[in-house]
Amino acid sequence: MTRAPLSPARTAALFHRDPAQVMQLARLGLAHPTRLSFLRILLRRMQRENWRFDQPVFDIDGNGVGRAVYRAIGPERTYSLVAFAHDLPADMRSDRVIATAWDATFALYDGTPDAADLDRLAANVPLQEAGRVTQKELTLSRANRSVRLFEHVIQCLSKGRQPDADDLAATGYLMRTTAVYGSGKFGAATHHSLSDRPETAAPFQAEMLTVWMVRTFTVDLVNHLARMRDATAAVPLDRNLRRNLGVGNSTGLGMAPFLVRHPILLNNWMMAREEALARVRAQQTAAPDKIKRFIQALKAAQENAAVWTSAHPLQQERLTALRAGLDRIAAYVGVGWDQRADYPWDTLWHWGQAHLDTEAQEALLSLMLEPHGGLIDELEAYLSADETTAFAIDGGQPIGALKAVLAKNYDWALEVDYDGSKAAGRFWYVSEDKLEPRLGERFEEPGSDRELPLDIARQAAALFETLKGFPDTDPVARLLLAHPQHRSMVRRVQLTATRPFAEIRDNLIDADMLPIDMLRCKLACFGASRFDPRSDRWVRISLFQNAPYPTDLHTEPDL
Amino acid sequence: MIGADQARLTMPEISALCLRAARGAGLSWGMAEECAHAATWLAARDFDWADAVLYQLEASGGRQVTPRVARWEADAPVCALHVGVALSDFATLPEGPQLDGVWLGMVTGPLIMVPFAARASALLGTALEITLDGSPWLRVSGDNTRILGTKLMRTKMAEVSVSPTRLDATRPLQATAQSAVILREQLLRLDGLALKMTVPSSAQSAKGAGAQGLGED
Repeated sequence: MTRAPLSPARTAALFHRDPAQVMQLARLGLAHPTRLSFLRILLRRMQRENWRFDQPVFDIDGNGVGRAVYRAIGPERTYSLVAFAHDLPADMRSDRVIATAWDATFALYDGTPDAADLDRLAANVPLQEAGRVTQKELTLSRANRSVRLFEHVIQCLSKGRQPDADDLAATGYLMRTTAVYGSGKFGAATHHSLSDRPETAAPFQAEMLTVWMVRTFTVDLVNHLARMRDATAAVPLDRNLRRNLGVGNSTGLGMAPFLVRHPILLNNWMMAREEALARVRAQQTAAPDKIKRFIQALKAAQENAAVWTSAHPLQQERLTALRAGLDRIAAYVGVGWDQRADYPWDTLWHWGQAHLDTEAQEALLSLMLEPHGGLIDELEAYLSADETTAFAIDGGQPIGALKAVLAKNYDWALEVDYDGSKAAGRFWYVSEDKLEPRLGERFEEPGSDRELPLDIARQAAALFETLKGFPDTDPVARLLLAHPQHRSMVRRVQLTATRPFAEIRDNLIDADMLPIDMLRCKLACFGASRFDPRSDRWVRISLFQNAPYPTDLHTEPDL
Repeated sequence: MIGADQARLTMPEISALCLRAARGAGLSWGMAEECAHAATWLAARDFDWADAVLYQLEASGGRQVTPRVARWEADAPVCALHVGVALSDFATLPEGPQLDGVWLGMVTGPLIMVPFAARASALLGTALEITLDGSPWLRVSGDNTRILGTKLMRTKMAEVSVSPTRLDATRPLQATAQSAVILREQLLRLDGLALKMTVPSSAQSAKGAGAQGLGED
């Protein structure tokens, strides 16, 4: 979307945050999931449309080897998670993309697979990147068991007792996915081919559905293996305990360039969130039920922050700030916040700007959206985009107009000295072995001559310098004829004219840049929680933790 | 069904492959993006996209063309990718085809120019007819295409003209495909070009990317 849709809060436009503040990487890297996150959109739709779920196949032996099929049956279509469980030797278990075997592999099938489909998938899905799927499959994914939790839970259950809640909380998942491929990869159906289906129109819905059903599979698998060990003594995992389990996910640099390569999607995701915040701030009053729901969400966030751990020093620092900030919000809401004055949500927001650090400010944003589904949930319709519509360069645009947009939207990039070892300290590249994005040290490693174009800030500055040599009245076409190397940047500048949230406003090749900030931004859009960096460039997170299972979905009060 | 010597790729796979191959062949990132766009445009309409892309990347002509009103100038035959990009860039300017059409000169591998003629047509809001050596070849109207000269489809070099024309009343060829076939031999050649833009992973970057092992999982 190039501007916010017509708002039910008529004055919302007055409450928008400045994109220059929102799009700083340090702030994006502190993003929290919201009710507009993709997994929340999926759960709400399935609840609203009364989807049904079943498990027509579960053929897995005592070693955990076999296959299972889980179906999600919507009003018009059925989707089936086809799961293949494997008995993987411990020394083959790796989260890295170079792995060739996994504890479980999955495909999301469009419809109900027959025996021939299952055989075809059995020959390809366990191979992952080395196999091929077809347009009948929406996703391809794999997962590994949590070494410290999976076997422990089976042992407990097989002896008739429940695992300790703290042990479950410490890990948070029985399995973690190491890749969930969709949108045309390895032969799968393209997002474009599914975009006319309401249930897959929003971003990454097939991927979210896959992970949600994988979560059920992981619990069913431990219950099954416990029964296979001792059918008499075994008990199923307690409903309350299983609720606290999500699906883990290891994510590395492969995800980071997405936000740069898809500026229109980034714009839409951020603009929808910012429009939602503005609508809430624009409310003249705060209804008691909304305040009650806000306080519930705040308590849940405090509980989540209390059990959210990380061994990474940076994340430990952030968690300390988050816990302190949430406590400060709770204290202010309890005694200082005048809920009866005009525009109470805006008052709360302004208080947060003055008294909270960035981590807690972004948490407050998420909390303020939580009670306002009726006001903001419709924004989920604006998250997707046909990116081809803005691909064509306007060659007739006068240079002066291009220069004005560049000066306005890239002012943060134009004064940097990119000859220095700090500002250009790194370079992004594609690895020869796995064709995956990597980050290199420009002055220590070879390969910068094959750099990926994620040096947006440097490109913007170079374009600005070149434009100085052209009259303002010349058309962009003439610039590109003489300087084709600026073509990619000109395209970006033109599309930002109407999409102010399209660009991460930071230098992505700076020696001090933190790739994990890019990862957290995207993962928060997915709805991920328990962000746990393992280095400055890969993280573990959890998806669907504390979310309902298929059996609980339709009794969940507020999704 | 596809033959043993063929592979089927989805549109995102074609786009990613051609982007990397074009970059590996030495095009700027912006031009590589245009090449990838052209490849998927052609593939979606069942044109021989792989041959068109490989011809540009392996055996292309010159890259320098000077758009002029009515008649473009070049010192040597110019590759169609660069001519096509310039055609869409200059579409609404006096050097474009909107008045009496434009003679683009000698062009190599003209098929890959078609997506850009389509883009120019959309910008101008008029159908465009492309001729090769004076013979009608294709008519484009936005993203719709009509082949006028089937025998010209494999032309590798020709004088190309683009002129405004009337919209066609009969149903044109529209994009529907979500995947397309490529010969495995062509796929290998594109993969080979794509490999040229990759870098061997250093131990340093692999370590940071998560190679330490499982640890506390």
